[in-house]
Amino acid sequence: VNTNQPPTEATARILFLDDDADLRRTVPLFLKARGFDVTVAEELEEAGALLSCRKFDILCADLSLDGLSRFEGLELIEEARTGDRGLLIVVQTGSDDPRVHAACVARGADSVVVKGGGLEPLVSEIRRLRSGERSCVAD
Amino acid sequence: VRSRLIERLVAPDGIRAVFQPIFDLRQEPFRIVAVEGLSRGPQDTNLSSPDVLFEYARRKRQESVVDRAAVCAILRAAGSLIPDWNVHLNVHATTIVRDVEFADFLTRTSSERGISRSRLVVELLEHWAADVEPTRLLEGLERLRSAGLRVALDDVGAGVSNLGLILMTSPSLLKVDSSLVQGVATSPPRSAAVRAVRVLAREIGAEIVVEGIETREDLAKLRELEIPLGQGFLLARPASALELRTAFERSPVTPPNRE
Repeated sequence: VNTNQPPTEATARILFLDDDADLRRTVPLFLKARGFDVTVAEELEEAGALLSCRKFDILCADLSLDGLSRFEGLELIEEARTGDRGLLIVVQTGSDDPRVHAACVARGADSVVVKGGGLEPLVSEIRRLRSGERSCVAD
Repeated sequence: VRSRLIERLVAPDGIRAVFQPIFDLRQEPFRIVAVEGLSRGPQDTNLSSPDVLFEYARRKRQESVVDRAAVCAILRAAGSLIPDWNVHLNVHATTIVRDVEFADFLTRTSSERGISRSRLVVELLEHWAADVEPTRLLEGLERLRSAGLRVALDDVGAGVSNLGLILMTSPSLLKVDSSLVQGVATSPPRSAAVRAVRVLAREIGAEIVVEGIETREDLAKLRELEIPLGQGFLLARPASALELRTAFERSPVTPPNRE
């Protein structure tokens, strides 16, 4: 992670959290090819530790928002929001339940992206948020 | 069930050990009297950075597992150090409290590595020590002392510091945080704070080490304040045991860039 330079569009620092090994390998390649500086985490606690110790511009978290892990995922969002008001938080989820999306936004997520539509919608959403639009649910 | 990252940390080569020398500042040329063992996670992971490594361990509530792996790595590497250097080990307060067999583990591991326990100093991070129940912390510290181990209080002066913790834990050594040390040459309040810790250390019979010496001016001021021991990038950066031995075996260090 490059923590010495101020972020620009080209060097915006993304923390990408996903428990799927294949996605941790492929999605960062896609994001890096579009000019983002990507750090990858595979566990909630790893992402939490990175957020505590490093500066990021965007948290892009694939959260399993069902069962017990839902609460841990929401706690991470809330902690990230409390720790850095300027951090952009994009939650990726397989759930299309609007109550789940609303819970993410209530805890501090700027946007919720439903997975399955490819990666371009994710990049578009990140760019839209960086341009100043916040607090909406994209699908 | 341990996560994949924890499994990697506890693997034989999961944690790499490097050492930062601690120098006797009272007489030039300065000599190394001890080294602080520092842990680095696997290089291809985020845990290669020590602050992320220990924050991760804390969040996973696996401090004891990680501390034990770190002790193994540091004491294994310490076999290559010059034998009269003491070895400092950073240990979470939660490990000392919850892992009631940690003192036995430490003495057994040092014995297996041929390192006398009289050379070992357990550094307790002050700001994390404040998070545990005092009575149980004292019990844990007593287990260490009963095993013949010395205890240091680390990060003294960092953040919201707790003087009561110093009095309660009766450490053998106080390590003054770099946030108090850096700029001591030009800041009368910092100078007064370091002097106050030195006076306190003398009163309780503890040694004092200052951390984070990075400028010649601060070093000169610290010597003027009669601080006996110190470490910092001005004197030496962390290095592997073999690198340190090679660099310092034949000659003590002379403070760099001194006319």
